Amino acid sequence: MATVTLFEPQSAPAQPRLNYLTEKTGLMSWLFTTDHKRIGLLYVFSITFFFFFGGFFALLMRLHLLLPQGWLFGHETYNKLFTMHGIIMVWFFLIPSIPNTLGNFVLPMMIGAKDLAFPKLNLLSWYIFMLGGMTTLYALVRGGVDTGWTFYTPFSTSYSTSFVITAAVGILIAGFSSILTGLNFIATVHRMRAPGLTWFRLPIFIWSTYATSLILVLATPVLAITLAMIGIERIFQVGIFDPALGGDPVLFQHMFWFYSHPAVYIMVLPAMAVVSEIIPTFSRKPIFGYKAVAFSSMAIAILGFLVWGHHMFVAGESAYAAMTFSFLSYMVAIPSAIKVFNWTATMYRGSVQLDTPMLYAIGFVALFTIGGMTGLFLAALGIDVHVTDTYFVIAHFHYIMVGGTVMAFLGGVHYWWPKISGKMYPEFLAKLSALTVFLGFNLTFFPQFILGYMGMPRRYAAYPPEFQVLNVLSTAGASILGVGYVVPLIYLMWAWKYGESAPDNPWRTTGLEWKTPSPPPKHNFEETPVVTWKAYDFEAQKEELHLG
Amino acid sequence: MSQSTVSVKTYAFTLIGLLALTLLTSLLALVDLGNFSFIAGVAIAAVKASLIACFFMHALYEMKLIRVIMAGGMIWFLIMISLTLGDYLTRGWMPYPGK
Repeated sequence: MATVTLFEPQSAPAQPRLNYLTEKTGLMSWLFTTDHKRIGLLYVFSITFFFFFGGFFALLMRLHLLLPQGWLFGHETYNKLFTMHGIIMVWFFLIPSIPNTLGNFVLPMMIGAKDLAFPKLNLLSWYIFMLGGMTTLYALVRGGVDTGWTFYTPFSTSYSTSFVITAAVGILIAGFSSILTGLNFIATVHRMRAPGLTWFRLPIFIWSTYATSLILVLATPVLAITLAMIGIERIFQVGIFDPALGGDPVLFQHMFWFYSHPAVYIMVLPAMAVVSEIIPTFSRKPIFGYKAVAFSSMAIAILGFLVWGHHMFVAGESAYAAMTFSFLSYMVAIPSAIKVFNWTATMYRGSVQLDTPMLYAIGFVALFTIGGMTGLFLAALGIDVHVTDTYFVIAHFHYIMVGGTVMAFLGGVHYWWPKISGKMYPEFLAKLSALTVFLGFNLTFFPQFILGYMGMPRRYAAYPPEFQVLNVLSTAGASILGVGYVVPLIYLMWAWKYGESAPDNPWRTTGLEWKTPSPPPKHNFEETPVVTWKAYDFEAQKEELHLG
Repeated sequence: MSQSTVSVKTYAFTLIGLLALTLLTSLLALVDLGNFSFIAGVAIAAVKASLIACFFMHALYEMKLIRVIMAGGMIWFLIMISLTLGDYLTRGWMPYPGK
């Protein structure tokens, strides 16, 4: 029942037309842009830089762990490497990865808007993010931080001689960027939807990004306060976390994880958002159980705030609190499982096409399931006591954050690449890369589950010789994974210049973003679309999409 | 969106109220009220936060959605406080083995 066809969906442009890339050119046009698409690309460049920075540290750590006694660095340098790897990857890659790049680019188009509600605030958010990133890199250049990305007290407040405050200030600044982006998305979804685009006609991407934005706005201020308290205790010796001054170190963990556990959902909900777009498109079916998937995003956002205590089972938390947090942690598995079952049901009896974005999406479902299930192990009090602070935990959260978020990010980049750049990428090479990433990832992190279960602690620069085989396998996997990440960077840059021109709707799918040219004009749509169809309604748009 | 103008007089009275309550908090530190000190301190802080929300943040004059979001923030804060206190207050409940 689509009533508006804004552009011919399959035709490549006959003559060059102005789009958001060509309307204005020059460095200044990018640095002062308020166009959400350009700002999305500014974030792409920035987080790619941080990703390879953080990834390089990971590779150095894996190389060091080839030999049981380590061979590349001293123990203090190793401490700084894993700290900077964590800080950069969490705050300067994973958290902004999907919302600030793909979210910025497609969210307004998906709801038929010309831009975000506050375009200038959006640009300010990028500048704040860069200021935070540069401040953190300054801490690195000055000598780094050795507390771990978790900044646990009293080490971070009383004993560490590294650049804790500089790094904390960098993260605090970047937090304001998160809050502004979250506010912008919330206001945009509430106020700027196209006529006819009711809440239950929204793509699932919007629901999940909205849920993510709520977490960004509600949780990030707590992180800011906690980091500020570290600074206050460190500089002015006010007793907040240090027992010697009358404070309590476990209070830091409560406050830190009140932000940082929901932060995991800041990373994974947008990944779920991307996958919820890719799977219906390449299954040629509406998503199974639309409302259940939409509400499960909201449920994850809410329940995600009630589980932070499972990080503190062995930190002196009371047994009663631990039991409560264990139970609540199990609850989060319910909406997560709803999503996994519904994605699978969407593929069932669908016309499944294994294009590159779909390979990444299927990889995401598999790896997220393993990551999620091992999360339940860790939510169980008895098992957590055995594997806490071991490589089991490392493997678990990398299955969620790298296996989940990075896979979905790459899937999303490939999925919307024709829209972003107006060019197609080399499909065979892209498929090969997707498989390389999947294999490399599993070879890196699956051995770490076994290592952790056998008792190898995390954050150690040396280990007993009997753990060497599994460590070598993990390092080999990391090398393959590294190749899997570099190759897409190369062919996507190549495709930007030399790739075949992309049609407006190369995947023949239903979202509003595909009803505008590739690349889109500055204000996305030449006339405001009127929506009369449900999300993913392939049947209603059958003729327009040439689906026979 | 409602755009009510709040008079300068209202802002001034709010500011005076906040400063008076700050003074009261400081004076409270000089008096030993036992457990009541904590309750009084938190109560004064809650009144101050309410004044800021109602007048400086315009909660009294804004549309319902804005108020719902502000209430959401408050509920989230209470979740953090109550579950954290749930840990602290129950630490002594479990007897040590053999005691």
